[in-house]
Amino acid sequence: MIKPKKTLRQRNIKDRFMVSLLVLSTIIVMTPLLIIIAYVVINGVSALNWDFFTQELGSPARAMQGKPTGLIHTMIGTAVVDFLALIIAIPVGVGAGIMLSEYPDNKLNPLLRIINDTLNGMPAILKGLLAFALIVKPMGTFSGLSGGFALAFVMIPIIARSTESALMSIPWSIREAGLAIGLPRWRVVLSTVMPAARTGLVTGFLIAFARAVGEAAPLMFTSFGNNYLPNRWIGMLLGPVDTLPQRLYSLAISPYKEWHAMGWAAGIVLLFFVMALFIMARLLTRKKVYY
Amino acid sequence: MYVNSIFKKKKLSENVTSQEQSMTMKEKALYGSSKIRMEAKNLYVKYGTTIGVNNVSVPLYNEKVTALIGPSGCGKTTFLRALNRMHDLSRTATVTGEVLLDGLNIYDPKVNPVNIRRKIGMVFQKPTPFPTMSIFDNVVAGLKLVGIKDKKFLREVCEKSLVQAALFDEVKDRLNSPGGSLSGGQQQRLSIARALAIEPEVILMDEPTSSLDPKSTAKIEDLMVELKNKYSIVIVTHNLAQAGRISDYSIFMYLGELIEYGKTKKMFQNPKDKRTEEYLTGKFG
Amino acid sequence: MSINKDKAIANIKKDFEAYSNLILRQLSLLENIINTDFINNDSQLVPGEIYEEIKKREKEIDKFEVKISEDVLSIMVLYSPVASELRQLMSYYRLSTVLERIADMIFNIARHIKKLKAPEIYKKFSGSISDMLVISINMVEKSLLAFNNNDINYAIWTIKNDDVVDDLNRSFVKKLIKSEIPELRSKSELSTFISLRSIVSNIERIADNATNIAEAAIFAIEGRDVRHKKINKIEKK
Repeated sequence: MIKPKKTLRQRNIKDRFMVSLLVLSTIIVMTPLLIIIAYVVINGVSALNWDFFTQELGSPARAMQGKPTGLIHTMIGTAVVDFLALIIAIPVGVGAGIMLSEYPDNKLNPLLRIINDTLNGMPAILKGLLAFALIVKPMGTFSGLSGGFALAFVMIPIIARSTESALMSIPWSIREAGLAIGLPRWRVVLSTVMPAARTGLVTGFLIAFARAVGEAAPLMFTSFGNNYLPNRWIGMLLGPVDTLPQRLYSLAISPYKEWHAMGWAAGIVLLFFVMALFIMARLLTRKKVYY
Repeated sequence: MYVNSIFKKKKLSENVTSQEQSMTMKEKALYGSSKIRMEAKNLYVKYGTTIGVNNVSVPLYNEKVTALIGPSGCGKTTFLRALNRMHDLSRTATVTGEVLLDGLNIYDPKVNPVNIRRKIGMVFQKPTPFPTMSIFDNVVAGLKLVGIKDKKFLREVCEKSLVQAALFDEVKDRLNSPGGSLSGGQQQRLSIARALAIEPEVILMDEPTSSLDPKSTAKIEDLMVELKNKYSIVIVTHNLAQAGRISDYSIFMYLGELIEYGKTKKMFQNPKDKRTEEYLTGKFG
Repeated sequence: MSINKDKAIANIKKDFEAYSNLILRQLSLLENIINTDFINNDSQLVPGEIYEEIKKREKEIDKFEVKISEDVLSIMVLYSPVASELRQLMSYYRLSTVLERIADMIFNIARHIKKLKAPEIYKKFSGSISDMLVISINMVEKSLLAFNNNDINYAIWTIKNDDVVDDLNRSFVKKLIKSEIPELRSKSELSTFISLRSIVSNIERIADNATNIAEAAIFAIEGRDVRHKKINKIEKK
């Protein structure tokens, strides 16, 4: 037997030292997250009560006078705008992803890729600007619709990328098998590749959604904000609507102490919502598929 | 079975190629009874500047099993894939020359490759059941996904194909379980059933048993001998004993070229070319 | 991959060559016995040592026959040979029996000669017997050369000369019949005539077996089965 230079004991010690270094760096990375969570929770928990989840905001006087006030309209508004964005972004993003992954020899592809990467890197506020120019100006009013579009522009490049990645991870043999039984190309993609990639696709949607949920800047001048819940559902699309990140900002810079606490509480809600989304995405990717 | 095929043609909304329509009845009769089902004529397949198949002309006989043998990298898989236009999907491969099916060139620009692949089916080395579909859906995928919805018809086709693939008895109680839940040999037979369900005329097989255990291999070899009565089969194999067991004709390729072809019994006993002799006796490859 | 197979086939080839040499030795011993010079020496027709040597060799030859057959079987089952290797092995299998038969015949001839009752009659015919034997031995030598060295010309030569031996056989029988009137002969003389007939038959069969060897050689080299074919067709290639 060839004897190693260092003894077994020395190598064990070195091994354990390295592992402890890794553990240390993990702790260092996790610390800011834990600090943020602690800070937000400590400052905002006082405002979390039943009213918070059932009442509208109203005027500053309401909070100052101790009358019931909450952010239910904000949470509903967030849900509506974000789901609208998802509905717009999924077909477009998935379509782009399919184009990038399944038809790589198409002449439009290099252009598509450049545009997608540019959009991905573009600051979100510019996407808000785009929605402003395209929808707010012609409509003449701020609206949930324009907010949805602004967030869709944020989601589309993310979904396109994750779709492309999910589809490319499906082995070529699946497509071959589909083509070999005489299926046209689009059929193969739609009925054999996409279902096989569904976990990856859904994960992509969740991640895009989580990203968009946290965007405040593009919504500042598209959905703009609303202290009240619109009377009719259609009002949410055609008129200004409140969303969590934008409301958090407004509450934080307001001069009213009562509103500050609510701002922190909004932060708690946002934080846990995003965390839940990411945990769901992680759970989904654990599921095994037969190959 | 002829009635069945007319029925199927009505159900399939895929249109017959214009080439076929222009063929006279007389010509059709001629090629139908000919012993040669498919033929390669001056076939070249190039990947960029590398030549994968170099000027191969060879007939493939009707209702017989033809084996493609040769050392690794000799071009037999490349040749096989040229027979059902699988190279259309490759960005770097170019195919020149002709491949005739019943006298018609499948590379004619008027021919739709999707239609060709319904007539010339393929089974691959690694069994690939569609992972998200049940066994039933897997078998009838070639029908269901092109618009045939008649449930009764689909169930009949499924049963018939599974029986032909010698898999029916093993899975008849669990047709709805996922395709991926079968063993390797069963999955390969499932792939064969899937290829049979669209009633092709020629079946191409790319080393179908090389990833299977001997028992499954034996089952599939028996299957191929059965299928020979209805279909023409071309199989690429590394296993000379297998080629000897099941093939009627053998084609030996080396470095992309056709070296020798003929009846397996004669070729294996008394090969004409020295290179064939050396390959068969294990001097290379 | 094929190292074991190649080694095994090379071993059989070596064994077969040794086997061939044994047969050729037996034949040369036999030639010595029938040699005219030797006969005129008036001692025993078959000297004791030579007879014992032939007998001893018989046993070795039988062992070879069995060994070669078994070795061929094991190569077939383990390596599934094809093409020229297959033909070669099948030929070894067939020829192991053929050579054993030749050896048997050699031994029979020696035995017959030893037990001849009327040596003078034998001496009268020993010339023609010797001629036949020489050709037959030549045939065996050439056919074995053809087989062991892949030379097809010697094989064809052998097949051609089978006719010559057949003719000699027929003319010998005629000579025997014509030569004497049976009623005037004693029992020992008659038995000698019959023994002579047997000896010549055996020599003719040795030639036949040499033809078998030549046919096997053509099969192994070219893949053609030329048994029961006319010689002009064989030569056409």
